[in-house]
Amino acid sequence: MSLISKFETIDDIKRFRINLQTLKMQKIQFQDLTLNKLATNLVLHTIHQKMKSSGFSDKIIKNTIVVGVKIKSKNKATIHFKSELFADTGYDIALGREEGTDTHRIVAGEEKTIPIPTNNGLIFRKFSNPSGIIALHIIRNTLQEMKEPFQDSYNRLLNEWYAANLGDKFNAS
Amino acid sequence: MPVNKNLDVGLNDAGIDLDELDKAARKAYKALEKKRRETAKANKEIQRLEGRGGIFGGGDKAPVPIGGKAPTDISKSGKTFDQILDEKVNVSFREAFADQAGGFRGARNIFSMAKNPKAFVGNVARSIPFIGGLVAAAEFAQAIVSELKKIDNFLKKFIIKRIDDRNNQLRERIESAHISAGNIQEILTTEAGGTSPRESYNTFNLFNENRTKLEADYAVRDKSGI
Repeated sequence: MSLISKFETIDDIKRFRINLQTLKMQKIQFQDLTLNKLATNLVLHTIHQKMKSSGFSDKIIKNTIVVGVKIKSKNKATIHFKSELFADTGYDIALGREEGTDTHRIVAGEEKTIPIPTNNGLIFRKFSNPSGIIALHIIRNTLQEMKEPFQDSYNRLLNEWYAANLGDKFNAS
Repeated sequence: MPVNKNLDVGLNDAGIDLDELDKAARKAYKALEKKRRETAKANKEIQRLEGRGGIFGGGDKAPVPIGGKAPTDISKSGKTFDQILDEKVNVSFREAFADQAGGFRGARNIFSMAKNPKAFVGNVARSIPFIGGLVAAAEFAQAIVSELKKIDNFLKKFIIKRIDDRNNQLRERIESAHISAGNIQEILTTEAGGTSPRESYNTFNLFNENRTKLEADYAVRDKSGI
């Protein structure tokens, strides 16, 4: 990243410093907006696509969201992703799909039955013993994969924003 | 417990720190401001020195001539402006016609002879080396003839020509007035000599038909020489 600033007169510098002050005030707003937008369009969209192709239910996909952006310091921000879908029993199905499950027993509540698919159609029981689910770690893996492209995109947008607001005396390349 | 994952992002990975930029700009501003103040101070000093006169003075005045000679103050010379102008004109005139009138020296001699013939003859006589009485007399006569020839050339070249021009102008003016009044006829024929009204130019016809045009054609436009 190189920075070329060309000042020919005192007025140029004055104008440049006024632009800088404006940028400083707007920077947090820009960061929050840009990070949110990128997280939604770039990362969350990829996660949803992967979930769809892995056969996740729509309920889980809908409940996988960007919670928010937290700017921790001058140089660091954290984007929080959450995925949750609780069953009546209090079990988080989204977590089960993300991290996998062992073989376990499901017991239906009072006056309820559990539909179990078999070769002869659905049968209803008060309990079920489904086999375990493989841990796909879609969210974790996607975040790791997208970390670099995300950072690059953010840097590019930030530079464009600087160039657009600091005037023609500033050239960021 | 839901799936909670975080993505950490570096906010300053673009490599541009606005605070650092501001600091650099402030530094540049101070440097430029310092330069501006120095320039203003220097300009003020120059103006002060110019106000004192002497070698610093006179940005608008005429420059001191090379060689150190100051310009002559006319008011202190004791001569009128016309006298000074005459001197300048004479010198310029001699220099301008030096070649045509037998060289610069010759032209100067012509003027001196016109002003004071006795002194002129004496000067010429003194300028001839004395070898022998007869030879000196012959050379003296030749010098006089030579100078007279130069005067003749000069008169022919400038004065007589000028008189002719003035006479021509006067003649033309009288003639033009006569033609305008219809007293004199002037006919311009074709190359073959044709005088048909369509082909030729006849002042009498114009006098009868379009007197305004005739007067316009024969108006004396340049009256400065008369």
